[in-house]
Amino acid sequence: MAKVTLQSIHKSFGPVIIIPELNLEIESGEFVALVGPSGCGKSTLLRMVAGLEDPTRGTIRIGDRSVNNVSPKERGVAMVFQNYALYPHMTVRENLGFALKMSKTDSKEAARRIQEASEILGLQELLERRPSQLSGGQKQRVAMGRAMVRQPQVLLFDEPLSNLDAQLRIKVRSEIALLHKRVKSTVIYVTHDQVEAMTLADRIAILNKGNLEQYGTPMDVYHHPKTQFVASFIGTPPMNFLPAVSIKVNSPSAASVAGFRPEVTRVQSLASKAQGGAPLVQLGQGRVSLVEPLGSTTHVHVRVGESMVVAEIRSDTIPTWDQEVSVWLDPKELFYFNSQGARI
Amino acid sequence: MSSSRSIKNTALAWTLLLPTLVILGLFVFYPAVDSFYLSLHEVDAFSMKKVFIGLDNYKMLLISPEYWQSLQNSVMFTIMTVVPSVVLSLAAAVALDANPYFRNLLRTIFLMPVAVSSAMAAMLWIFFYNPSSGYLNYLLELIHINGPNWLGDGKWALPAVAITTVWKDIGFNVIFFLAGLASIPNDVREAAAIDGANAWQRFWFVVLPMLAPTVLFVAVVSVINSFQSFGQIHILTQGGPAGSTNVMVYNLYRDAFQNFQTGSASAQAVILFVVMLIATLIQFSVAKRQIRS
Repeated sequence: MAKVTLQSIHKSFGPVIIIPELNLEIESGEFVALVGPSGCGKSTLLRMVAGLEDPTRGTIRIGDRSVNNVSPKERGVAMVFQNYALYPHMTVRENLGFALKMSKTDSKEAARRIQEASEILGLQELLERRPSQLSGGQKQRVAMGRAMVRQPQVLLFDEPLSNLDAQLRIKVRSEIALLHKRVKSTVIYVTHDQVEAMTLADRIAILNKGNLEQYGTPMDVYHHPKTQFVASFIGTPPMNFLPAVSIKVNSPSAASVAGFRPEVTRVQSLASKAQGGAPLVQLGQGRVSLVEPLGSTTHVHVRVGESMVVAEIRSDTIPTWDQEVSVWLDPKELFYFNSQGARI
Repeated sequence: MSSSRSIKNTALAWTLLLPTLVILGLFVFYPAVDSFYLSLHEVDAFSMKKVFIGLDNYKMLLISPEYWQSLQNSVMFTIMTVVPSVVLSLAAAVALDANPYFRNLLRTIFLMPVAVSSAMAAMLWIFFYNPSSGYLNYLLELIHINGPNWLGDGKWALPAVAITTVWKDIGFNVIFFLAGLASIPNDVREAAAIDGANAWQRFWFVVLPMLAPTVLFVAVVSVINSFQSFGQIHILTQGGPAGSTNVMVYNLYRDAFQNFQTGSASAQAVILFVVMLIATLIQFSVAKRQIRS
């Protein structure tokens, strides 16, 4: 494992600027998720660390050395691709052993590493199969095994779960977490799914239009978002936003937008007042436009003025569609943002 | 309801197939069957009267040294054209694929000889091969090599015709290889680069095996084309000197249209078909094994 440092990275393709300037430090052995919407530059950043793209300006360090002019194979990195990128003409065993064959690793040592990786990932029964004979989840495990046998200093994941169905995604996600604990490599994990980032990463780097919006632990970015973008991106369902002037709470003078999480939002029929330990204030009234029962919780969408507010409700008293309700909240749960989107 | 629709669909299918079937029937299947029929007869050149002689035409061919020479020439010509043509076009395609700049321009340049007719190409190469005033010997002279009489020397005539054929066929093959290369996902190559493979290893261990079906297709088509080569031979050497470029097709042509031995020529057509079929089947079985492994 090694520390990864990105210093003043700028990347553009011709006139199109992908990353204006970015600095990021990833500690040795740390699991860092790069999250952001499509086109925010997260995959480009990962590819630059892998050596598949060159930064237009700036320095990439792995450990103590600058790797700007070092080929991918000499960087000590391994990568798991979104589309698995398995060699279709090779068996699983050959896929796992390809990097070891290229590095002329001793055959006994190679066999031992392949055996170890296939045991950890449950691939023993599949070693003689070809990728076309595997399911999506199995292919992804082979791709992880291929990265693992190299014992890389830095392990790179490029949206590895995006081609899997929802159930399998949860399963492979936990396998990735276990894998990280075993291999102890530094991990950089690109995803647009903030749930993956929150559940897997030690720290999350949130990118927007090539800029680093915030870098911190999952709880830090969730509870203390620095910008409206981060607040809206992290959390499911996303944070609710209302114009600061529209809420009946004394908000800071520079506040343009007030935000609050769905899980702290209370919804009550107009006849009753919200119950709760903390003193609640009413934010507004509106009609229920959608009710989404999820089993343990229910998401209630209420139109308040021009905005839509989502409340995550755990009680049995659930409003029905088109019911007139009032929206309540503990004012301490409010986040304020100025007109530039920065937290106040 | 559904059965009347199925009848309608069948009728439509046959209607759409009919023009192709008529053309194929008239110009491929009927001549093929007729060739086999004629190969079992002695046909009088003037009256076209046919006398059944069984397999005598085949027996005569099998004891004819001239025919064996043409078979040997065809095999040599196929080796001389298919191997360089596949290797060079694959190399050109890989180079073009790796270099996006000028790709379209270079692809067009490679493809230009394909658009030239065999006769035109052969005429062009006659000028190149001219022993006293040709460009080829002039260039060889610059590096102090005394160029041969390309088309007049029995040792050099077949390679000279093969060079012309390779020059003409490369562009066609490049197009197929470029299409094959484009179908290989980029992330597989990138995965190989990260796995430590250098450019040559990426090509040898990843790209070439994934390109194997295209290589097989190009090789099979090249072998068939090579066995059927006629135009350039007819113009460059007319099968000479001393039969050194008299390949199976040219021998067939001479027997059919110069010696008027229609029965023997038909037997040669049947043998040529069997030879090409065997060559194709061998290629398929070898390539299948390699693609699988």
